[in-house]
Amino acid sequence: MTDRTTLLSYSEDVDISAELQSVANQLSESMNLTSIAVTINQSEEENDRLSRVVKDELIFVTARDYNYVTPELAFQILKKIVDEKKPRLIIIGSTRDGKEVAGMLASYLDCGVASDCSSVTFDSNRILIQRAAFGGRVTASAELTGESAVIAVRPHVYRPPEPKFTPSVKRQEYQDITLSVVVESVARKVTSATDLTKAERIVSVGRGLKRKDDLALIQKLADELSAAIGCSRPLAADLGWLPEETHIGLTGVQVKPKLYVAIGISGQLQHLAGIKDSELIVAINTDKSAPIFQNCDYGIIGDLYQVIPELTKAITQLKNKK
Amino acid sequence: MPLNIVVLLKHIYDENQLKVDQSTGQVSFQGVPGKLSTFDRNSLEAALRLKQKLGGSITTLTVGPQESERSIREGLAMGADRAMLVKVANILEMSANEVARIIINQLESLKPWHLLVASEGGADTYTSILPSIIAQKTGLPLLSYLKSLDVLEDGTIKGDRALERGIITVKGKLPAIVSVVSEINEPRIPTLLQIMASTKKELKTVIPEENKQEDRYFKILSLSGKSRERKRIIYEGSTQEVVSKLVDSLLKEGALP
Repeated sequence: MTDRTTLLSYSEDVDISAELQSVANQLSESMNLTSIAVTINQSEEENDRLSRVVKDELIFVTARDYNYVTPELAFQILKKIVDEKKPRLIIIGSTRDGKEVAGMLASYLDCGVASDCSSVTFDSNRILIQRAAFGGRVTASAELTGESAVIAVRPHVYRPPEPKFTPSVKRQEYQDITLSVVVESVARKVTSATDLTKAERIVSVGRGLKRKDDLALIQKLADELSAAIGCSRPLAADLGWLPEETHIGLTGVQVKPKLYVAIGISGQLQHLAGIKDSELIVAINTDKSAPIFQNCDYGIIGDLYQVIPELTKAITQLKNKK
Repeated sequence: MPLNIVVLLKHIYDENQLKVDQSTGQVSFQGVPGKLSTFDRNSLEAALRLKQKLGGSITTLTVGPQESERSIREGLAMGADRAMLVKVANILEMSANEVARIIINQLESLKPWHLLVASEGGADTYTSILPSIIAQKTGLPLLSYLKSLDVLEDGTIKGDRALERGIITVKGKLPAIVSVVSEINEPRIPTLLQIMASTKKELKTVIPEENKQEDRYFKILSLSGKSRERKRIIYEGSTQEVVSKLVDSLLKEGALP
């Protein structure tokens, strides 16, 4: 049959690598594969976080002279590991960098590839995946066949497994890798501690907000509701009013709170894809014809600048009564 | 230096007009109109701005069915100089490796070119895999997810990559491949005159040389369009009135802290 008996996993983000082990553990068991995780240029402390969640083997790679691991560098290194380990399956964290690494590996191996997968299972010699398509309107189920496959798994869908393994640890060093794309500077984002995927209530704001200062209004309501703050793509990506990790939608985070309040959000498919698993959706918008009203449980047609202060007041009063 | 730029354009089913079979929950494409993939407008706009600055020409390259012509004409109306369509029946059934091979073949015939521009993903499948496959197979530098882009006189290409963990400024040498995010620009809307003039521009249609059925390791099994039914209770009226109704509803739902 085939001599491919390993499963390789990699992400440039150790926390995502830990999540990937949840999939890696399941699949390495059902496919009878040895599970190997690779990290590149991570600190000892970060590598430690993987030391007990990876089943069989850890490869800690140090690539000298690179303080930022580009997808191209990761690919050049993983290619060598792939040549040696001949994986049946490669699992990558589906970040922007990760998808690039996944594509390059799939090209190198000339095998099937799927990105942004929210589910990966194995059944009758087929790898089955699910992913969103058509702006999140559709869930596509697909199978991957062939000698090997590369699957990029969406971050924050799986939880890291219980730490219970003692994998063997190998250290490798690489240097003098020629790269065609050179990093000039890196401006890392300061990430906040809020994890919207776990929030019970979310107050989310979109283009209906006129000024950045008006976020104070939204914050007040969020405080009263003990809710986290999220936003639609333009507020984070275009305007930069809120951090990228609060961007909810197909290309941002997907949330599943008990209560989701969409304020001044028109409700494009890409945004709806991120909130479809919410238990209750409330929409506040001036535009009667905004698609969000077709996709909410309760809606108010009105100006957020009038509705939000009033709503905040009403909830405060309610809490005081208790 | 004048740049010869190739921009990838894709004609897709309009995701806002998909039909879902209520009994099976499966999506049907029957009678669903097509459109130019949203993010491709941004890649073409990025190319147009580079051409404005440095001169040169823009060719759009599309792999898709005959109906793609409509989207291709839009690209020509926006300002592309010429277009090429590689006719395939159902691109949704093709693997990324397969589409990449077709594109690389055509890129060969479009030489000399300096820059290939792709978008952050197709608005239909959003796999974002194609540029990296083309880069790996051609050995050309890939600067992906750019939110800004510049080509310098000496043939250096530079840009800011917009990633989850921050902004990474990168550079490489032409010829190169880039993918751009939709935040990079606001695409222009062609005038009526430009739309009319676009019909006179060259659109070359080709059929892939070897139309052999490749091993397809990726197969779509189902496309489910099921969505959760929402209550859709909408309140309209005076602010006090609607807020009080909403609060009552939220109390009943047990959604308040």
